[in-house]
Amino acid sequence: MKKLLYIIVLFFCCAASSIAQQNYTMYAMTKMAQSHYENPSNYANGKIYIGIGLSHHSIGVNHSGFTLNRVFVPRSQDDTLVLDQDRLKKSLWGRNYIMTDVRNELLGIGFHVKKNYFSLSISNRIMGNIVYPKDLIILGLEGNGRSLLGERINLNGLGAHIDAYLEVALGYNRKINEKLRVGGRLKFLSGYGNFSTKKSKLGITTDKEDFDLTVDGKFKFASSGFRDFFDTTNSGGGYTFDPSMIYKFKNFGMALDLGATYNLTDKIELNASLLDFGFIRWKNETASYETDNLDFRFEGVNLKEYLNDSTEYLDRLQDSLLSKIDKDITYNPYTSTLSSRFYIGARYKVTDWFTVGVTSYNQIVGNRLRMAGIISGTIQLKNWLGFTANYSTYGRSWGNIGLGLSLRGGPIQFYVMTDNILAINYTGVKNAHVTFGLNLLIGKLDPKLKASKI
Amino acid sequence: MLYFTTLTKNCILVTRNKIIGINMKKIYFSYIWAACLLVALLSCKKDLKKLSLGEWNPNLAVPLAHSTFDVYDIFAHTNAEDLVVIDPNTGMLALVYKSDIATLSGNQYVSINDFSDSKSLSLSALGGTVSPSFSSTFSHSGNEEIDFAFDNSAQIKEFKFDDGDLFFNISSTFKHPVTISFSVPSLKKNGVIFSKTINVNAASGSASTASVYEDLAGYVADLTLGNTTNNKLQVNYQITVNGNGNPILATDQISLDFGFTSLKMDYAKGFFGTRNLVVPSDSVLLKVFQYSDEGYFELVDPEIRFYLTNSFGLPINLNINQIKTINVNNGQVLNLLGYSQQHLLNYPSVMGDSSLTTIVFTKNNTTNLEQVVSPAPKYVTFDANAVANPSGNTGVDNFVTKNSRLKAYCEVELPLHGLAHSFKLRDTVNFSTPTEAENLRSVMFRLIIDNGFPINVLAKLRFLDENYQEVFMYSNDQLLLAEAAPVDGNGKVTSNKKKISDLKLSENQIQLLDHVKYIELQAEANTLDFASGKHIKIYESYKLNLKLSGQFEGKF
Repeated sequence: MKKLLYIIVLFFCCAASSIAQQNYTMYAMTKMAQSHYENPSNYANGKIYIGIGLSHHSIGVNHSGFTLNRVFVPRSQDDTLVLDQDRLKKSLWGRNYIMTDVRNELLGIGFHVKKNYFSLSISNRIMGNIVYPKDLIILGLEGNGRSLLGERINLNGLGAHIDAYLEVALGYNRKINEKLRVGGRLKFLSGYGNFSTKKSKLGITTDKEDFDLTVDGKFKFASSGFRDFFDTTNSGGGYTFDPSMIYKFKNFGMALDLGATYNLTDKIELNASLLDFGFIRWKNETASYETDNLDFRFEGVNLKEYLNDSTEYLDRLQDSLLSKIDKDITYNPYTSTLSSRFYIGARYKVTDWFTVGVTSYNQIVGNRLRMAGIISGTIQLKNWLGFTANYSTYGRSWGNIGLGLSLRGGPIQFYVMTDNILAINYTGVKNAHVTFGLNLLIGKLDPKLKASKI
Repeated sequence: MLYFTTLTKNCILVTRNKIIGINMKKIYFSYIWAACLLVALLSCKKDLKKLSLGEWNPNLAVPLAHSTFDVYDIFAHTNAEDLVVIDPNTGMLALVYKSDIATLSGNQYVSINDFSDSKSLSLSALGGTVSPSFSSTFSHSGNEEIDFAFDNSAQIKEFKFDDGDLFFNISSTFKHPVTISFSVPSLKKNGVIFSKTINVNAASGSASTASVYEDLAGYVADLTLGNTTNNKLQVNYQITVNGNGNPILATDQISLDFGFTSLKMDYAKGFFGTRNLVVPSDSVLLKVFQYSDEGYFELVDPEIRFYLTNSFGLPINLNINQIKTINVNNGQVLNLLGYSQQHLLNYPSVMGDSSLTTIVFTKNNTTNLEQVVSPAPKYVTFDANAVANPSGNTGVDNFVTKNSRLKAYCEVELPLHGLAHSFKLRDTVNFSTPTEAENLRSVMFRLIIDNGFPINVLAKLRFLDENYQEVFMYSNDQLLLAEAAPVDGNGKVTSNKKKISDLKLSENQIQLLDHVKYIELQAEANTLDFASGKHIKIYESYKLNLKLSGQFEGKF
């Protein structure tokens, strides 16, 4: 029992130190056509599914750092909430993340042919991760003259990863036997914006005695669609591009989703999926920048040289400092990988209409693995009502309550769900998420074709 | 749907339901904005309507300045030549301040005055007779002696002209051509005697005239008339009247005008007379004391040296009337005593050479040299005069050329060996209040001095207004900013001494900075253990490393 408890605690500790991409709730709503996106072995609960425009929209924001009620405390003399800098510092981890995920399904089609399920979807996707180190916040709060004095201000990891692309996915899954159903989605990607921090190892050390500043490390990024941010000759302020570049796939990429569902017993189902395993080759409007290996020390103005000729000396000093970081922007094509994710889960059929599940969600951001843990309960009444609730730990947040509801009347299916309903009380949460949509389901699915007995 | 609205309005350019362009930057920002708005919408809760970031007091620590100062930067920053290694084996240094105190040139010493004369020769003086028609010739020869006037009764035997003109103007009333030949046997150029022949046309109605000029540059004049006298030249002439059949009247005559003008000397030989030479008073600035108010120095073996370079070929006696030091701050004047005033200068025996005379005053040939430099004087001043040929004419010719110089040059050598205390310096620098001063809670300047000199430096900082009135003083006590490095038994530094001084301005002092226009630095330097009489030495290898940093705490 102790061992089991240890494993459970360890699981949630790992999950608690992570940030994650949202839509766990959808993962549990297996009767939804869009659950196919979280596990390609899932399928629409109708012979034909059609979604146009309103079928699926999702937005999520996640911050791994602090919650508002943690860092803002009431002032004694009035009801003003004041930022408690000590609490803020304690709330931060060495490396903190702000993540956003947006998906808009522009077109979705799915249909069953015997044991096979085919799907086509066209979605707009934007994913952004901003990474900021704790020391950056401390530097802003208290400068380099207090706790950071004599220490290396660790800015390793500072950067951002943003992907914006159009996804055209062809999906297929098949019931292999009574226990197993597998599926996959082959996705063709047309990128229209990317910012990738390729290397970020920066540090600033303030000498404790003489306050000399030493900068070390290296920084490198690549981008597409952001060139006008770096092109100093562009005075237009934002560039407008031909939208045909999207359907011409000028920044072409491919990705693969894989999924499987396995009925271990009549009551226990195991499931897993691997999502967004792919790349985009960026060729259009690229701009890349890379510093040398930085290791320079600023000791202030050289008095003798300054007194000799202040103007000339300051010009030389400025040139010398800028030469360390003022490197030319290059415009070469490059490749970025998607932020791959995978689920592993199990569900237990308590009654015909009620199941419980446990899921591990994992995401690779940069070269780091982010984890989340979810336990869920799902009620499915016939085909017209589905309801799920889950408890998850992610984004270094222990208490996230997810809710999902789907209602079907005739061929119309409406659904809305969130990974964290507690975000209504935003002061104490690190995550906010909502997904909603309207599907058109035509025909009733033959029960024999269902993969899962659950 | 919020971000879709944003997209539609701001990002996607739509015309008649057709997408014609997409502003990518706005798309990205729209999503970021949408995400923020999602949080903001949730933020509309009552208990967060009064958010405050509270007081923000960032503390920035930054390096401001650094430098390594060597002995030349500290003791001779205006002129590195002021610092001289007086012991090459050890690198021991002395401050040597130099100044040209007087210069006398040959042109000033010998000047020759212009000379001119005229002569009229009547018909009878020329040896002619009245004739109604004269077709023959007759001639007349004569000479004129020129006595040049030189200043100071100089007796010049030989004189070479660097410039000048010799002119002859002739006027004749004879109605016959006249030929006149001039020669100056003692005036030669490249060994050739000066001679000229002038033809004057026959007069018709009025007198006929003719002129000739000769550039005297390069001519050497023997002014002795065959070793019989000085300062004189003889001009010979011969006049010939060539008859052309016209009559000769009793009133016919010939007039001669001649002279030497615009004369400049190349060289002169002879006796130039006994005379006083003006040596203007001058001084040597002791830069090390230039900005000091006061101080006491005990220097080992200071010296005052005069270097007199003489290319005049004559004896000169220099009389040094007075040497004194002046402290301009307190008016203290100290006369050097016990030194020899009269000095006969060396002089060259060959024209073009020069001779050097060195006069050195040390503690051994004076009675108080060490004392006169003790109170940090700003100047050493001199008053002297000179006498040429003080013994009169000894029979040895003097010579002077246009390039002859008598240059007096003085050095005051202050070996950096000894002790000093209460050496006070004061300097004022402009100051302007930082524009963000009102946002500063405190300011701390950290001065780190790694001192390789055996000298303590204490300082006070006064902050002054535009009328140089004190706004506030940083500290009533002197601050020890640089701690003297330890020395061995020979007074040589054995290791550096580091001193870290944190100069903190309080919030009140920062507020007063608005009124501050100047900062006055009052520094005092003392050599190591001066009170016990310890002597230290300054070597070329000494260095002082300075670091200035600042720590600024803001209030927002």
